[in-house]
Amino acid sequence: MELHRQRHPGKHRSALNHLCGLEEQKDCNDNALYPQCPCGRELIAQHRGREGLTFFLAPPGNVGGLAREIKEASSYLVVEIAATPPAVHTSIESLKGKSREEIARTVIVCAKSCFICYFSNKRQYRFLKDKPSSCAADIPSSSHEGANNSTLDITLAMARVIVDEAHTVRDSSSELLCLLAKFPCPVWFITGSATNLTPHDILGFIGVWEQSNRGKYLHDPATEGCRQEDLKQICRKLRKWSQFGGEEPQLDQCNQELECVVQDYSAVCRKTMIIRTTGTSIWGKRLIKLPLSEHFEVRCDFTDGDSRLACDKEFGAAVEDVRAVFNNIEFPVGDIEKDQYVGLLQKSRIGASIPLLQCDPYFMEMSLNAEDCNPTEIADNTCHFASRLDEIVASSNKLKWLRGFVSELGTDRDPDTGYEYPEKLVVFAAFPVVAYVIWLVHDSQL
Amino acid sequence: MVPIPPVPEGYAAPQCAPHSPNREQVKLVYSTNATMRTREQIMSLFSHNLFEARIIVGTYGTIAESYNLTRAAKAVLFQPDWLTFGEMQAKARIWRCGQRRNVKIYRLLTADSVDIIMAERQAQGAQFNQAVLGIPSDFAETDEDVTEFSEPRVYHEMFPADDTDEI
Repeated sequence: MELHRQRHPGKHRSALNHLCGLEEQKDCNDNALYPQCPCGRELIAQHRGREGLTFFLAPPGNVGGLAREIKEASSYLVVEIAATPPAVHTSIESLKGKSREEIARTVIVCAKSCFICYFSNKRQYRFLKDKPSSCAADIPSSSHEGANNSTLDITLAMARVIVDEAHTVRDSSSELLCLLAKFPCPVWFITGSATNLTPHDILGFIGVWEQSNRGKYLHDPATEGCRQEDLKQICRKLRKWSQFGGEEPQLDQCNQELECVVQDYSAVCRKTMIIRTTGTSIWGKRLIKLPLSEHFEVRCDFTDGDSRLACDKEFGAAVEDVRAVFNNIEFPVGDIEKDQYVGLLQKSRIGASIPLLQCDPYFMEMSLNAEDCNPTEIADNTCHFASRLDEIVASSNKLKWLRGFVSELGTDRDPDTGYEYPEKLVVFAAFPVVAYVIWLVHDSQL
Repeated sequence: MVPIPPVPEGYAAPQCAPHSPNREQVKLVYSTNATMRTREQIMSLFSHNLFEARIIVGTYGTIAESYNLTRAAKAVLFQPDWLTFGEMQAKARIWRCGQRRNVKIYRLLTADSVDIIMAERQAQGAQFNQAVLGIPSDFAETDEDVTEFSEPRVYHEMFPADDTDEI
């Protein structure tokens, strides 16, 4: 049987329907949709009907959409959008003096960054009166100490904090988790991407529930559905695997270990991951038939122009020719730690045709003119990139390819209405110079 | 869903000849230039207005999650992401529920560069994901991929109590 659904209920809608417990769940077909995670359902049931305020933390761009989705799913809820830390403050202040029932029907949707800024007592928001957080020092915004040192005095009844896209929390020492540890309420993590790259990520992610970290939390984020002893064992195995996995003599043994570990971890994931994020697959099983997708890998060469730019003293010592960097690597590529990767990236990004430092923080208002660079020390060292955009564009094969690609974009037809419209494109790039290249296409065709 | 506005009066449908985007049609979504509200406006324009916001340029961090960009059928991954799921999420912006056209995704890699290291690391991560979650390493789909749900496995045997080694 092929399962086709025109409209997926959406993870937030399902989650809200379950966890608020204020309305009978209408879409009983969810059981058919998520048969693999019955324990998640039990987990939710434990907290149904808990009275208090609900915080929903989401990626910044999705806050409005999420709020709309919640309203649509549960019209009895009062959904407030807090776009800035002061707005979080206003929302909380407005709830003071209200009845528990009113508070229980309130959901504040805000971006994780706003939540962190507000509750970790960042310098720029200390002017807000009667904040629930306070700390002795004036903490710079880039430090995690604000989260660690501040104390929370939350007088409102808190029902739960829900963290959407929880895979962005990579480590139990992250700023967000430091804060959440102080909240006297359950914290929910929703993700469909629990494993990112390596066992280390998994260790970081389930480290939240590790026994050693439990002392940090006022409320134990672990659940009944996930026994501590089980997690402890898996953590041990993962550590062992990550410790010996790279060594040849241990390889066979480690492969067996890995097999055992992934089996166990799969079980934990399937127990604790409440709802898959996309409607397209659950545990690798497709739910909805999607149109064909073609993947093209475009290999570009490292050009002499790249090399010249990389070796140019004007770019500073931080940027080297990628081939020189490669030749100087003293460790096997597979064993590089994250910090080393970052260093490698910074040094060799020029080899990927675009200088890393040509990134947006150094340009004000997205202007690509050197004069508009942020007047910081780092920008002083890098703003000459802006004056040499043409040289960069001319020497980069990636940018040349992109220029040709954009110039060949045609038209598309809307499947509903049949209207013809200019073809649309999404470009994932960390560099505004990409926009410059697209503008060049336009300018050249005027 | 917001209905698509009608074609403006006097609008001449573009020909199939190359039609280059003008500067106003290129929207940049970076953490420094696009506030929450601006991002929503840009995404709304992209999805619901056929003639504006033609090209969106953003990072994996800003636009690879939470958005539905099915108005586009082409995406360019200008550089690889460190995380396997980063790219998978990015691809899923256009190849997801609601997409009814064939999708083309272009991934750019520079030889002899850190791009290759990132791609290798991603492949390693993809294997791991495949092992743990059963998620395929790429999004290539065939007819066989749409399958009936299998019966939930029995998990009560998944936690053997024999391993008590300490590291």
